[in-house]
Amino acid sequence: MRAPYFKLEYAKARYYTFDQISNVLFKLIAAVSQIFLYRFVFYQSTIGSYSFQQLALYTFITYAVYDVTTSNAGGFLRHYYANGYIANFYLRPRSVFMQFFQQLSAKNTIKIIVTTIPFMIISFIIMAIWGFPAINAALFFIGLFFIAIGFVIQFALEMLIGSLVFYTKESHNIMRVSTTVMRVLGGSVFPLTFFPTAMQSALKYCPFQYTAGTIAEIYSGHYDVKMLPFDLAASVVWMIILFAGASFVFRITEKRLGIYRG
Amino acid sequence: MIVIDKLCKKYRQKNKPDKIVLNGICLNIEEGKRIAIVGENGCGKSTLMKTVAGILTPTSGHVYVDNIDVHKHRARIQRYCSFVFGNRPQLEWDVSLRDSLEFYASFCKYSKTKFESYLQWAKEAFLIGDLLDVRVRELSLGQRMRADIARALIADPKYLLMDEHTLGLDAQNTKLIEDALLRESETRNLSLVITTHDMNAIKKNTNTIFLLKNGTISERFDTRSLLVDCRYNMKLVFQKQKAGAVKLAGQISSDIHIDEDENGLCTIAYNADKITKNDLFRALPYDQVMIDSVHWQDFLLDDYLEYSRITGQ
Repeated sequence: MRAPYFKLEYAKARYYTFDQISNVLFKLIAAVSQIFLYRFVFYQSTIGSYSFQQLALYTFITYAVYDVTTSNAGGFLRHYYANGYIANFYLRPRSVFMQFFQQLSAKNTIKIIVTTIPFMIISFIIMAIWGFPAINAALFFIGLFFIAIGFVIQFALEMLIGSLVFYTKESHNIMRVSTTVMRVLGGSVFPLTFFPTAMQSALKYCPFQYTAGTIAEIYSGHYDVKMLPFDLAASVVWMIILFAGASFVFRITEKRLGIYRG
Repeated sequence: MIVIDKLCKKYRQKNKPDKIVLNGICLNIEEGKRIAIVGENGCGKSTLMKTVAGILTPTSGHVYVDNIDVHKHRARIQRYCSFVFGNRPQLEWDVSLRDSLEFYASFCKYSKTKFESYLQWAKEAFLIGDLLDVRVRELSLGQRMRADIARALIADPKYLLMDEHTLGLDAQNTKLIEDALLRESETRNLSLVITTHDMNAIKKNTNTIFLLKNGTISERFDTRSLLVDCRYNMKLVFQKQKAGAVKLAGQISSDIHIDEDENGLCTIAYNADKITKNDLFRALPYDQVMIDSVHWQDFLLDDYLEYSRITGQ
């Protein structure tokens, strides 16, 4: 009887199968729409260093990993705080911060099974049809490693911003803006090579790319392997700094919790 | 033992001075004791419970459970200190009751066999056998509360703290819960700390009452001498329509106490264990009573205190 959060999320997924299916369908439709948008807006076969096919694949993969690296910690915190449910987390024998992390990790594990794996299979089939070179096994597993790190980084970033919920009545719009900015800067909407060179150099040292861009580059066969040692080191350092920072900030801000005023 | 040491809690208010809810509370709750914390609405009962639970951080002071500071090691005390909040069940809303209980059992490292024997016990103690495969969101309030108390006992706690656990429950569910709590507290040597306005729950499940007033524990009573031994426990109130003393028919008048205010509002205090509502209703002098105004009231703590003073108990 271990892994309580995984079991709980699995039980929820069983009751809400339709939600899971509709989520996958939504992602699929959104990915296809974005790909078509690129085709009609740019209407050329090559954009920057990307061919249309590569860009389409890149987009498809960002959607595949979107659910997995998205932690939704800020939304989670806001929802639970607003509804008073956060109190329940204080009554379990675990730290509240780690419970949020475990619950969201469990949720994302379900999403890997339901969304990411089918998306990945489809993208590999597309790669084979379009004649892209097959991704090597080492890089495939490095990609998985970046997915895990991407989730932790995204969780920590959202937790840092989400802690604002203890100070404001409504943090929804702040979360939406910050998440969108982080997504754009992370290469989720389009590859980072589309940004001006100066911005690319600055973003190289930021944590955002590890939540989407790097993963999509690896799986779309567009990753520069020379960057691997730097990316591995930088992502791990960012993960440690942000996770520790988020934990520290949460521990301070949660003291403002005052549900129901008694 | 739970030690509450000079506990203060202030709530910040916009453009107003801070609201002091708990003002230096000191209280020791020994193992196996059953206590009730009572007081009027807004006096800080729930704030006290949430602070002891570790949900709210005190402005100053400490809470220790078996010498562990709750606010430094919150997660550690949850292994042997359980909580039930009447207005906030902790069961997982979106899954079946069985899944929800299993989730909590996972924290206590239950094996499959131990969980099955726990379920067997819970089915008998709280009559939740038919509810195990129902989603928690579909349970009625009474069913949810029974299940939530069963959930609270998963960890086999030494202390069970309950805040308004009978809120909104009917008499049948209240009795079932009270009986089960009494049985479990005796067999497990479980300490109970309850806050409620339900005097019957206090009478049945506790042996000491603490009155919370102005942010401090203002008085302490023995439950038996205040509630159980009190000559009266129920009130009948009516409006008099004619001058003159109220006289009841038959022998009933020896076990009652009649009060009347300047507006002719009469209160008959009586012992509901000795006199039935029917007998009292039949004994009323109908030439004096405005029949539409007749209603019964359960005794509140203030009533017990007042009539104990009147009867000199």
